[in-house]
Amino acid sequence: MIISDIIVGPINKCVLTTSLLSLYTKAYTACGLGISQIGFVMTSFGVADAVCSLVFGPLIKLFGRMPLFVFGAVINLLMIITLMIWTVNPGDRVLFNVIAGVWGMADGVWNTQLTGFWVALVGSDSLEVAFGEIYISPVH
Amino acid sequence: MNLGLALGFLLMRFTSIDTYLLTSFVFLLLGVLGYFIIELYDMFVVRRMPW
Repeated sequence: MIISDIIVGPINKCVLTTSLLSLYTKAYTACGLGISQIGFVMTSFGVADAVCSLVFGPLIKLFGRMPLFVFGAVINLLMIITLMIWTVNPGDRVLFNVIAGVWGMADGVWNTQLTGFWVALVGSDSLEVAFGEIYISPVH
Repeated sequence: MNLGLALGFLLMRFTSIDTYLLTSFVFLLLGVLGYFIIELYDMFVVRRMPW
């Protein structure tokens, strides 16, 4: 279980979430727009995350798990590449919000699909174990 | 989950931005590949077995 945890599990998701929490706010938003704007940029992330978590949950019945997983991974990889090549410019006010919003979209995919995938791995008979493994267990 | 957060903050503290982005890129790529292996495992195993 620990191998799959490292590969596709919550550890992977949390490394990505941390990069937005710490890296994007500190190195990009605070440098480009100022500390006072961090809240506004993170609002885009929060709204996109909440909306996409609601939307992508039922979408698994329509498209299946794999297309949504691939979608989440692709937009997350694209955002990482964008951050790699983008030179921070305070004039790109919208881009700051768009990057945070798209990252929130990817996080919405992880929130819903990762949980569903974990339940599929552990078995739907033991939902407590699955959710405990993801959210409570101090090992992960 | 906690280990992931700890790992992320540790990386953020001791590496540069480029290194961190590259690490998370590779990590995510490995994660997706691992997901494909787990998801398509049955298909490959069933195909390889003749019975």
